[in-house]
Amino acid sequence: MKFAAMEALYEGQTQAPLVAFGILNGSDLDQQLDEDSQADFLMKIEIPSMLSVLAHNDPNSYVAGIKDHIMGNEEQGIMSYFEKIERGYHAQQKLLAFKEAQKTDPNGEEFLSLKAEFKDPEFVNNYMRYFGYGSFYDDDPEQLKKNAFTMVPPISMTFYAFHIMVMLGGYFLVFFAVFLFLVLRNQLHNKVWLLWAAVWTIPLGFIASEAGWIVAEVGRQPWVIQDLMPVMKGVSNIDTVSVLITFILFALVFIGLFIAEISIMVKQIKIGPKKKEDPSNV
Amino acid sequence: MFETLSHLALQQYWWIIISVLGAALVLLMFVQGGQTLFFTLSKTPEERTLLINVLGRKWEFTFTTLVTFGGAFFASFPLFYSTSFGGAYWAWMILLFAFIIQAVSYEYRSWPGNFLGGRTYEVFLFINGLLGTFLLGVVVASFFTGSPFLINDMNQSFWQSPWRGIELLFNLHNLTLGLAVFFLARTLGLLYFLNSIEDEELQIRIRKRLLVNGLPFLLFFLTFITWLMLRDGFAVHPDTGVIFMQEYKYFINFIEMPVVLILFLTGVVLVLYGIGVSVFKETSKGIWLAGPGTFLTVFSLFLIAGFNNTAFYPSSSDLQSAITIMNGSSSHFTLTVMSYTSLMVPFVFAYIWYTWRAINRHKMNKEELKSENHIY
Repeated sequence: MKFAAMEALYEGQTQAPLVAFGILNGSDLDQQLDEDSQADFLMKIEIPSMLSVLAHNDPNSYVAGIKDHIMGNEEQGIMSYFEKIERGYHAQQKLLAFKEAQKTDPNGEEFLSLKAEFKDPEFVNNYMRYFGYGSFYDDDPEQLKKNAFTMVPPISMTFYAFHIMVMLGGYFLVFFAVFLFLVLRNQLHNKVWLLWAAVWTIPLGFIASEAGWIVAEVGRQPWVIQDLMPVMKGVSNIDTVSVLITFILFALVFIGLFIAEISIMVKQIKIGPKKKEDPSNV
Repeated sequence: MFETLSHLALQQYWWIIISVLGAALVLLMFVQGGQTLFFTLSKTPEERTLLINVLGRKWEFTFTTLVTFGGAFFASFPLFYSTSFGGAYWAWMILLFAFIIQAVSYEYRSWPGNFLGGRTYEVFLFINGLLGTFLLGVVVASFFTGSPFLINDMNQSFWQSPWRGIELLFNLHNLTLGLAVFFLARTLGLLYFLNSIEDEELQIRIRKRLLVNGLPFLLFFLTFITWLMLRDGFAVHPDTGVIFMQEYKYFINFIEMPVVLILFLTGVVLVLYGIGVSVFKETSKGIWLAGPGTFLTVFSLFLIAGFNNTAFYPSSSDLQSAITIMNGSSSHFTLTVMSYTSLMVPFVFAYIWYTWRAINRHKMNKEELKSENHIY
């Protein structure tokens, strides 16, 4: 699912292209997905079949899209989220029954048979592995379907973060190759504009790193533990005011420290390197 | 090797590791104690810089031990971690911020252009020393006194106080340990200064302050221990896992685990002897007695909190929500895997020992400060 979100790939396909550069239609962002949702690019540049190659090392292979995951695809052997939610819910009910039986009679027949069931590979592989999906269950089948469509990470954020990271990665490769080339030819010192470019590249490293984290953490939603525990079940019971205060505190402290760090560095850069008295210390 | 051990054996093994790390942490809190002293001990900026630099060589040991302690607790007893950190939220957050400002203060204090000025970073170090020791003592005391939380069948925890950990300060017994740890850290800080600084005037001032800090430590520590020995404790029925209150539980734990009692008494005697010998004699080696003494004392306190069928994180709201090493641990698989990594612990200690010796080969004085490349 994360992979599909990174590429805003709604419908799965063979010979799937990789979006080298793309802009999503802003008006569709953050809308509730449904069966008819489509990828809506204002513009994009694609590399044919590249996504299939990246996913399965085969240009003709099938790459599952976001809707394949939610609605399932029998042909490709992909189980729908609807089915996984039902199975997860079944596993959760079993666990509740197990806990209840443990309380009433820890040596009773019901408890022992439930305990055995939790060790049965059949149950573990077909039900327990979808345990977390059960948290999206609803008695009303229509609502259950709607819930399944919420189990998608924010697509535009994951998409852009991934592409910014990859583009910056590509830029760094070219950048360092050029620098290496010029250093070897001893021509770097008189290319002032390039040295300035190097200074402005410093923050890009941080941006690339942050973008990578966004792909990892936003792209993993809604899971704390893939398939087993959704974020809503793992979150601490803290009121929003506490979280807000903590956020503001972190922001203030780290902005203050950031200013100090930059100020110290700029001061030292202005002072410049010490003259080396020891000739061996180059 | 570890996979053949029972789940209970692994849980006990990991409680010992937690106890070792907790004990090492309190011992290394001499850095925090020292941070609360450099304002009053020094008479000139030069002296203050000397004191801060002697501590600056060691602050990372305490910091990394704190992180390892928290990390080991998270991995081995995650139910405690989630309940306490999510529940006693503000107590831990204040501790966290106190440690964030410590790390940078050592690094930024002496650099020109440090934005807030050297004095601010010195105040940060003082705040870290004060809150770091006191709050940690208070939180550890709650291992014996209990905290207000509920845990449901699905291991979700619900903190029952809107104060979010601050309410631990409203318990007198908690306060006695908080203050004991605070004064102990200051005393250890003084003993460490005594052993690391070559400066006659400072040495005289340090010795004078030993009693001023050692006596309150003794007073609060003895109050805490006496109270602990007399109070009811949170016991676990070994077969059913049911929690119940038992009279003199922690005293009984000492009696039923005599080795732990011997470790505890040895520890207390070493701490007192270390302080006494430094007050009344000219020696500067007191830290080598009080340090290991602190380690043994805290180590044995952790053992009576978690061993001998005792709930180490009791709930004052609902007896059966209490966390024990049995119901709060990771799975057999996780503990087994982590146990293999724990074999690295002796190497870590060996490394600490080696680098410590390398840093402290000789005492530091004001002259040395001038030729030092790395000034804090």
